[in-house]
Amino acid sequence: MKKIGTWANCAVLTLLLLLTLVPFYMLIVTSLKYRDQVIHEFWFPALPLHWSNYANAFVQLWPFLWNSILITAGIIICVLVNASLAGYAFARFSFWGKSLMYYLIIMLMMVPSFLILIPQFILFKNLGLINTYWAQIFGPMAGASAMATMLIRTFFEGLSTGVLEAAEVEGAGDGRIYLQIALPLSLPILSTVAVINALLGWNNYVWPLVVTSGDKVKPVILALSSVHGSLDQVQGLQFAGYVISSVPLLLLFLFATKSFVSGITAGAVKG
Amino acid sequence: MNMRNHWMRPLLGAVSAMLLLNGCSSDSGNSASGGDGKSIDLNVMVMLESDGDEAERQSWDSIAKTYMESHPGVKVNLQMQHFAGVEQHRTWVTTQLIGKTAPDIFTTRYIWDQEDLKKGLLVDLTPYYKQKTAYSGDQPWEKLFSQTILQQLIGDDKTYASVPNYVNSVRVLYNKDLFAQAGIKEVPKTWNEFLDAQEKLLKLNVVPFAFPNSKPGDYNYNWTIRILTEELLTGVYEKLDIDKSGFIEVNEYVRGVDQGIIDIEKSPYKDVFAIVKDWSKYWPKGYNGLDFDTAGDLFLQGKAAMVMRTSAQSKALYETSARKFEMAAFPLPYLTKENHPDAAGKLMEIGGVPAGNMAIPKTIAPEKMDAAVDFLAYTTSPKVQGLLAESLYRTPVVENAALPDKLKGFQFVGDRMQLNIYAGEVDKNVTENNQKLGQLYLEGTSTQEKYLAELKKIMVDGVKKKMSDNQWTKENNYGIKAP
Repeated sequence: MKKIGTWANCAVLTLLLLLTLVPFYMLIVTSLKYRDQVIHEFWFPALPLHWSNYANAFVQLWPFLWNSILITAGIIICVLVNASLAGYAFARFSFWGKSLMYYLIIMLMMVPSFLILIPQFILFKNLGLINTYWAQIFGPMAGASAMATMLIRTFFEGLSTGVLEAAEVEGAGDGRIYLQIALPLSLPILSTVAVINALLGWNNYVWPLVVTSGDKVKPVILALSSVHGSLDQVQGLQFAGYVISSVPLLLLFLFATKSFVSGITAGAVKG
Repeated sequence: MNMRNHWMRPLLGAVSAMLLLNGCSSDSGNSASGGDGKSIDLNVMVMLESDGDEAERQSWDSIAKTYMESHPGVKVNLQMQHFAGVEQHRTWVTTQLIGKTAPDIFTTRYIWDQEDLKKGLLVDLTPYYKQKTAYSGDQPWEKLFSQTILQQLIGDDKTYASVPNYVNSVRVLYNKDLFAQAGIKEVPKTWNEFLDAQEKLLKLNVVPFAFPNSKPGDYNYNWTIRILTEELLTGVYEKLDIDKSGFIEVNEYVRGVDQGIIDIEKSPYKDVFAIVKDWSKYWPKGYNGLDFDTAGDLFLQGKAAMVMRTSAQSKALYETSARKFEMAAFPLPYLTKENHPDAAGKLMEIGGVPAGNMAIPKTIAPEKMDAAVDFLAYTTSPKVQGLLAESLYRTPVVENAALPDKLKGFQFVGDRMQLNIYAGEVDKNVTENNQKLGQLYLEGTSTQEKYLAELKKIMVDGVKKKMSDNQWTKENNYGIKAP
């Protein structure tokens, strides 16, 4: 009886795994086809495999990949600096209006980003930042910092007060405690915030669409919709483009997975 | 020393990153015209409508190039942009106009241009439409366009806000091989012949008609309802067209709804929905989840015998090597008295819906205005219209233009619609909700009564808003001038 249960569990999990993998399988398979193959051999790989789709898509996308890497890195760095400083202040110090300020920051999470699109656009325009990397970094950073502050504050509050007090007794100032004790001990949550914001920055579509024009600072997500080719090739090219544009994120996730998992499970078990 | 290094490294890193970003940043914005008064830089944003077809890019590059060759004082800076959807396009247009960063010419949609003109965001092109252009011969620019086009372009206050560069005409595309196998010798002309043909196709184990209906942007439901409704309305045109212009303009539509002449809960309006529901038995299973592109794939795979497309949309089907059969086009068959006592027994053309509309923002530099209007006029010249038709299958917007052979099947053969009820330019809320509520009706989770009651409420609310915005009342005859 127990064996049947185990087999059933395995079967269900295998099915779920397959269902999860099917879209990725279709993405890869379609990226190697021309339209004729997509239409008539939809589910399976078809020969010849058109690796040239990848070469052609890469030629069209690589400048924009670099733009996206720069923008996403900028967002991650700015959010981490912003939110870790704010989180540290909220976790460590008592000051007048602390709760009110904290809730004001948290309230920012509740405002739909679409609502502030036009006011934010006008603000950036007045700052002379339209069509720059800065606009693409600072816009998402402003929204993302609220959640990051909440996450990091909660993590900082969970750090052993004994360690921090010992550092204080040894004469370490707040800057040193923040940089040399709090941040190194918080790598899991910092990685989590970094990965969440990498996804946000990389996949952000509407904001770059409205604040950029031309190709100079355009991110890859906008360039993907402009991948072009002959009618019989373009579908495979687009799918190859999707694969190429996901590689940097996959690499980031690969390197940050261990810390990311620690971060999202932090506080799940007491003691 | 060690401590200083720890502080200095991140600081230097941050400063270097900022310098790098600053160096890479661009703030070109709108390049102004040359200060010497000789050269004009015209920034033009063209929305790419095909899904990655490089011929579209090449065509616009060629249009800009030929324009610059014939106008040495003007430099056209083309920005070609593809939007993920209508909503993204609208967001882009709104932010650029409000932020005053819009290019000198940009692609909009004819269902938005009047709204933006009324907000003072666009240049009123009416005076230019009344003048001759370098490409309109001896007649005013306006005369190049058909009445149907102008009717849809013109606003409540008789203004023009944009210039279309092609029109959409709708046809049924069919697989000739499957028709032959099913023993269908002639393309159906009447609705009953159409249903008979689909019955025969069903016996071949193929989907007779790949009808996508997952969202308003799948178009088929809207086109069908509009075409068939119009075929039942020829008897009420007289009651609605009180200025005798031959078209029922927006204020006449408002009057019709306000006075109950147009009441979609009553015959003949309500009867169309049952006809379409009856037709749905020939659509693929799960048609409410089938999108436009997947319907096209079914057609190319030979699993569906028919699809509905505009001429421009049909290019991807005509020109792909994935198609292994002969295909051709015919108009959606018309209703006859056998289907409804009010049927006119003739085809009403949905054709003539303006598309590719381009507008000029109010913020354009005065010295660029003439060049911008001239470029718009150029897009309606025979040379450009021919290029768009030949390479992109776009039906010319100018009247009496010669159609290339490949577009002959899209030639207008029916009567022009006069009311165009449920069309986006009349009330886009009605258009979108008609499709969404229609989904529930077709799948049987809503009754026709409930569907039409909800849709009517949206229609009446839209009409009240138009009356309020334009200060139209029964007393001032809704702003309609006597014939």
